[in-house]
Amino acid sequence: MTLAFLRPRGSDGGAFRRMALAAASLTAVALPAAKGALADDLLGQLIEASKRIPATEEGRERCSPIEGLQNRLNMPFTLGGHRIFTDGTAGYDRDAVGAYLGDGPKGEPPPLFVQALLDAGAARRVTMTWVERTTLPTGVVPHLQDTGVPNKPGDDRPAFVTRQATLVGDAYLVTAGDKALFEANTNRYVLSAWPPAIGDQATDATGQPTGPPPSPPPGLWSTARVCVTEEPDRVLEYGDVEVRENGVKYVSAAILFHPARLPAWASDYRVALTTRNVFVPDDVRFVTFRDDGDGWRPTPFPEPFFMRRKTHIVDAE
Amino acid sequence: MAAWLLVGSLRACAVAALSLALAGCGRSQEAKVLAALKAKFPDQRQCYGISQDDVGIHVSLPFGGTLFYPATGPTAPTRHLFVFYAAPAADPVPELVGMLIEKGVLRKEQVQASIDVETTGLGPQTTSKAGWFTHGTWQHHALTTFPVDIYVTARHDPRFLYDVHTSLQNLAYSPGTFPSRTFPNPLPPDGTHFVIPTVTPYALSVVTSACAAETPTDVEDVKTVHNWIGQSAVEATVTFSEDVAPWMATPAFSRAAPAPRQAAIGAPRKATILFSQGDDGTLTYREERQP
Repeated sequence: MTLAFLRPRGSDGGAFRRMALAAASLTAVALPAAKGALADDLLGQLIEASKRIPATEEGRERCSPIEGLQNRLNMPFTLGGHRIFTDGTAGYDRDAVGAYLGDGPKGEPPPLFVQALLDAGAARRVTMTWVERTTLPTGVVPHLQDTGVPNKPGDDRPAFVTRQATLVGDAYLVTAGDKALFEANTNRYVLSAWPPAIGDQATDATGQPTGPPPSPPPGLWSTARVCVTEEPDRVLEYGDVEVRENGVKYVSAAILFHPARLPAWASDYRVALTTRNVFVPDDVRFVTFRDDGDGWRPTPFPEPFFMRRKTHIVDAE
Repeated sequence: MAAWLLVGSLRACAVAALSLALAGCGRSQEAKVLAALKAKFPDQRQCYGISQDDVGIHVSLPFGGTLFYPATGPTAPTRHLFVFYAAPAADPVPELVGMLIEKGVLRKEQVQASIDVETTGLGPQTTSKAGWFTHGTWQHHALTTFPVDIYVTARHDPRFLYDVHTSLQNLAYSPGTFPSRTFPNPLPPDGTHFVIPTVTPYALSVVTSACAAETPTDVEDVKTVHNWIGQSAVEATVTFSEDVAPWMATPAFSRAAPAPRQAAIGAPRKATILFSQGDDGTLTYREERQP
């Protein structure tokens, strides 16, 4: 007696029996107790595999934007600006290292987050002079000419007019030690620095300095987000190793992660006020691993359903 | 090992079916029924739902206030609690909980819950062209602490059925998350609206039912039935014996599990079960006929 409705369409009984045999072997492999050597070996392998989770926001990193840091130049200095740079200020030159949090006019209080870092000594305030230098042909500069006619040969007016304006303000730099906690944002403004003072620079006939143009210090990146990478510590709970239809072994686990570095200012309420919950000292993540025959690898999609079955809970020593 | 033995017997059955064209394979229909039940439900249980008054977490503040728990001990973020009942220590425990404590089924863990509230008020008034409005003010108060008793079961106790909540899925909607403050610092100065960062245990299992292991003891009335399009199946009446714990056969448990039921708790259960029959005569569980 055959039950045709149980069979896949277009398959004979033999094929169906082979499928049934394959299904019969799809049983979960029960591991010995958590104290066993095999289990210890597995847990060590899972921790090693967890270190291969990419250190990105989709992986083992927590990121948050920082409220109060506008993604723009705060100094009111951009109208018609051609070359805005700092004039070799002490503390902000080509050798400056850190993360550029932002800047503002002198005396303006910084955002809460920046103030918390300043109080903790994790950021420093650099008072410096912004320089905006504009060089234009005399004919297009208003108020400096009699007519709108460009220079003619024999005219004693200069061919170019250079205007220079300066403004004093503060920039806020994260110190080199905490720089790695801040995500580099290449689209965000970093003030350029020109090492020699302006008066010391050689200029050409147009009044422009002949040296290399000012550029941002290479050791400095601008940031508007704080990111914390986490390192796996130990397995708290794991399910049975199961062999699925594709012949691949899977196992899921709840793994304790710690931040690679937890700064002292993480507990400042102003940091929590301006960021999301990024600094979690004990963070438990669910990770699913697969073994294609060459060791355990983390999969990008955690499957927490193993918690519905009987799991193995590992006690701390 | 059991799986390979099963495969071996399947092969033997297939050979027998081919050679003899019989569906027997040398085993009685009753034995095949038992084998099919064992394959489908290796750990069959009958569970009795317990009233929500007698299980679960009964600690909360009115108006959505938040209670904070210590970040160490039972409510540490690295813990997975198997909770039967939790309530303030000052509250009397239900009858069932008291009985289970006496029997040693539950273990009591006590934690100190703290009431931190954020009060809002009307601040200075400001007028503008759009009208008048007020600046809100916020004040944080750490009012008091009080002990909370958490009655936990053994981990994965087969006597109980749990609702599992994980931080990845549904812990936020669980009856209690036991949040603890991530950084036990003083609260911010008044006037600051501030969401206190918290961390919770990564998983929580809450008892919903008490269970008894079910064992099929008697198979009778095995017969082949046909449906209206002529497909055949095997129907059997199976009697299950229930291995109830002594405390489940008490009036206190009967009161705590008040759902209407056909028979007394622990009485043998008789069920009519439908199996499909393979080419080699083996049976596969299909469904349980409703009485």
